[in-house]
Amino acid sequence: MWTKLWTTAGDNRARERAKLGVAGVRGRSPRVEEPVVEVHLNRREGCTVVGIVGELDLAGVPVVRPALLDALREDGGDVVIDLTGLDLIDSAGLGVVLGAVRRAREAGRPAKVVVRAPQVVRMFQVTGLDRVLDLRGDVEEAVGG
Amino acid sequence: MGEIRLEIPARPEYLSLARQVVATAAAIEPSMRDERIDDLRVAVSEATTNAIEAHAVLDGADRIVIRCNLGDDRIEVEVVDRGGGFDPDALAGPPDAGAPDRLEWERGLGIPLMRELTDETEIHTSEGGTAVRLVVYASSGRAAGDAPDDPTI
Repeated sequence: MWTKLWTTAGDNRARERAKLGVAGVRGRSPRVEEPVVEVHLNRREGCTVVGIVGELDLAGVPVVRPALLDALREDGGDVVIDLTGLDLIDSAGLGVVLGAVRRAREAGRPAKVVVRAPQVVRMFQVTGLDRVLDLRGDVEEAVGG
Repeated sequence: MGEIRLEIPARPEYLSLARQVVATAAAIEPSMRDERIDDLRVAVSEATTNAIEAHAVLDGADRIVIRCNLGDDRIEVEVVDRGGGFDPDALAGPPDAGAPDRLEWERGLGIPLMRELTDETEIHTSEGGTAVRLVVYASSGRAAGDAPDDPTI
């Protein structure tokens, strides 16, 4: 297995902040101008798994979009976009995910999107994207088929 | 409670701060459920993203103002920019979920999302800027047991 990591932070603050959620903001000062998103790339069982961790909004687009495009260039079979590490996604983030899925399909590679946090699931439902994307609730299930 | 006023540079790095301040203000109201605060966080993200993009054509010196007012059983947030304004009624929405070109629609979800996630969304726009007013009531919206469906279905 190999792993690539895209982040301009160089530490795990995005992951820490992702865990904070709404409760966390009550007790911790935000750090402005730090990236709030990380991208991890893994290859598992013939699939390219792209994990996005933190908050995916307009600020994360310049980090996440090129990382996803890089991942799609890898010869890695099916594509799994793992959003289980996301605490928040808004329409700018949905657009990036949508674009990646479209490019994967154009390249003849089935793409699955894994979602877990209620806010993230809700965004796909509210926009109707749950009906056009192959959404899964678990990475193992997505990788396995 | 008095008004909370946040002024931020029109840059995407400040979106997270805007969301956190509004979420923290909303959490002061004990009856405001986390699900409603999540909805508000995204609605604020959408309004502030639009404001940042409206400022992109300016020289970058102007700031975006976000005001929060917590009332009985509700929070009201106003996002004010000094961009060039737009016609919200002229914006085309995304195609239906079943439409073949749905996957090509990567933008234009922001305003429909704001309307869906809040109890009230008002957009006042002119050449001098745009003010978006978002209201979320603690007692409305999704019921406590209305958890999202299993996405695997």
